[in-house]
Amino acid sequence: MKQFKTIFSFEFLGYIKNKMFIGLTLVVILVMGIVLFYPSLNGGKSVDMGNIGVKFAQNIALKTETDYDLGRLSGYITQSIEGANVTLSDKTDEELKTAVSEGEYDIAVIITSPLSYRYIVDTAGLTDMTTAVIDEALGYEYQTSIMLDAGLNEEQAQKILTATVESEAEIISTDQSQSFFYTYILMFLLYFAVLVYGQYVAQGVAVEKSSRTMEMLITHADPVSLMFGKILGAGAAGFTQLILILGAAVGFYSINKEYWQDNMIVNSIFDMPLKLVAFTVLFFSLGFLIYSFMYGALASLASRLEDVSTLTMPVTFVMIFAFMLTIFSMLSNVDSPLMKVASFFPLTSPMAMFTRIAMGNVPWYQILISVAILIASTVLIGYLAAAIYRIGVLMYGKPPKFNELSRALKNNKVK
Amino acid sequence: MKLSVSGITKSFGDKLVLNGISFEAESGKALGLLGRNGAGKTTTIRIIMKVFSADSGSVLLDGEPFNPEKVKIGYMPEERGLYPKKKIMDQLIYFAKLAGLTKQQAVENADRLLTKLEMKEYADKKLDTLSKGNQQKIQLVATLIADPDIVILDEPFSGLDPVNAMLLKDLIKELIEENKIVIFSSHQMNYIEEFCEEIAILNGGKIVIAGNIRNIKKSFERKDIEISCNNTEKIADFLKTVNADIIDEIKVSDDTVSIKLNNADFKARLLDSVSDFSEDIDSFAVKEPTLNEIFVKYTKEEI
Repeated sequence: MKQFKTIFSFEFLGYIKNKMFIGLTLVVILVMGIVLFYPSLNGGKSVDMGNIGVKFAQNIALKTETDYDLGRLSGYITQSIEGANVTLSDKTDEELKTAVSEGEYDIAVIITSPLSYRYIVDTAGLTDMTTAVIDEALGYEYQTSIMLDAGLNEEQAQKILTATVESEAEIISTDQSQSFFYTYILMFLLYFAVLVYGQYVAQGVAVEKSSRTMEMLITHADPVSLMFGKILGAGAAGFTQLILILGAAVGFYSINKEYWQDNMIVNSIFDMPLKLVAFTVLFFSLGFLIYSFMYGALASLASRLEDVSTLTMPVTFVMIFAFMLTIFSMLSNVDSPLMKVASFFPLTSPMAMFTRIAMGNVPWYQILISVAILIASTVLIGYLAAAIYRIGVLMYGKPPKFNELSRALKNNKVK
Repeated sequence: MKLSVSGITKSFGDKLVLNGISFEAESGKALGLLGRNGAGKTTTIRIIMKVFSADSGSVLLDGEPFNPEKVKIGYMPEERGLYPKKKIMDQLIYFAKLAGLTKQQAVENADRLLTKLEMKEYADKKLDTLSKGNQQKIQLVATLIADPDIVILDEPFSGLDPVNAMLLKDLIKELIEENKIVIFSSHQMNYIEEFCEEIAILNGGKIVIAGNIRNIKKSFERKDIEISCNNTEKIADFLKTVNADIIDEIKVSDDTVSIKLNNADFKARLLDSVSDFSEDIDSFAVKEPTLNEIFVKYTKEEI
């Protein structure tokens, strides 16, 4: 136990004192600080991300090849697009093209019938919403003209067309529009934490072995303490980093809370229910442990650093699969049959079950079963990993094949 | 203290690696554990240190089962290695703490040993910035940092320049004087002869010969004679004619004549003849087998 403490603190401090670790943590905190302090630095304007990026053309040329009445249409467009400058043009298509390419107009719209038009732009922007406005204007104009023909007056027509429906939601379990963003962020963090720290563990094991430091270590400490000390040291360092970063984020947010009030996304992230924080800690810990055990055990079979990535690739693939499955299910259905299976399988459950808890409807007994399976598997894999590690660290040469390894495990039951 | 290894066998899978290894090492004396590559030296050492358990046999210290947690062992593996990217002082303290020292003791010991090996100035450097010889010295510091009672050195001289080799020699002599058990493994027989009173030669997982070097040498048939004089040709011719019946082989060089007798009992007869020789001679000596010759004799067959 004393040795475990020595190993744990050596590994933990090794990360914490590392310049890369300190630098990266500070940079992430700094970036978050800049983002969250942005509105107060920017003269106290609240940030409404809902409209960021949406653009409209300002200089619009309108032309028709029929006897279509452009007057009402142009009026509608000027109403819809703030500051729009609509010109009725009788230039030819070629002339319009030149005018657009020279920047005289942002867009030239040629109405070919009451329900169709062509338009000329220089660059069709991804977030350019001008055509949506024109679609709407044409449709509105068409519907109005039909209603007028049918004998309604303009006021009646307008009333019909602008009728809106109001709704009020009473959400019983989960509002996915609220839970989506923080679940997404947490999944990303879990994914990165496991991949990055799992790889750190693998590298650390392989460095000790390939540098032959292991030959010295093994005379003073038993391999099981070495492995657990290393993994838990890395885990503790990872948690420290996450807590620092998330703590700073929460701190920055609470200082700037008033500026972010109108921002639904940011608010939803920081209003995460406390229950989920507890689940985050639980699934992060277990997810990290189960993967790190595998990374550690596999890396112990590598004689050279170059072998590590090949040996640990299958584990990384499983992790990527779990991540992809969860992220894509978040966009469709988090309670799909595949997700249900994944939320019990120990290598995918840290992500899948967490997402189902955050965004879906899971009966509590399923959570209990999933966590129980996960804990049991973590213990089992930890035990197996220790057995592999014990043999692996002193085995040099080509990484052993699976059957060689299982034979060695049988022959070399714990001393 | 006396470390007795008796009847150790160990197999990995179907392969029998050690087959009844027995030897003893006493404090204040160095034991040379010799053997070709793959003979089982490292496995034996690891079993002593309880890295592996033996299939059968025992390791006793003063008659009690040996417990590496109670008695400190310092081991310098043949394959050297420490953390390449960590500061030397940090890793030395780590090793000392793993061996059960407090941080303060660790720092004191590290300072003392680094100073002794003229490495103090590198304490805050990363290991991989040092030259190979200096890394080797750090390795030695790491081995000795916990002030071990049993020191096992596997090829400690490889990679050292003559000056560093001298430093190491003095250090090993000190260890022996401090009454530690020193187990020494090397292929450089001159070092073994310099430090070790006792040797054990391993071959094919067995001890082929063990004991006091002097006694082992004496146990060899002493039928090689070396005579040095000025006129080697003349005395060679003389002895060939007088003692043709007892001489197996005679080799002549500029200043010595090497004679192999066909029986060790004929030494006196040969000496008699030499005294009849009219000219002056410088020496007449019975040539002992070198450790190298003994090693080769016992290990050249199947490993």
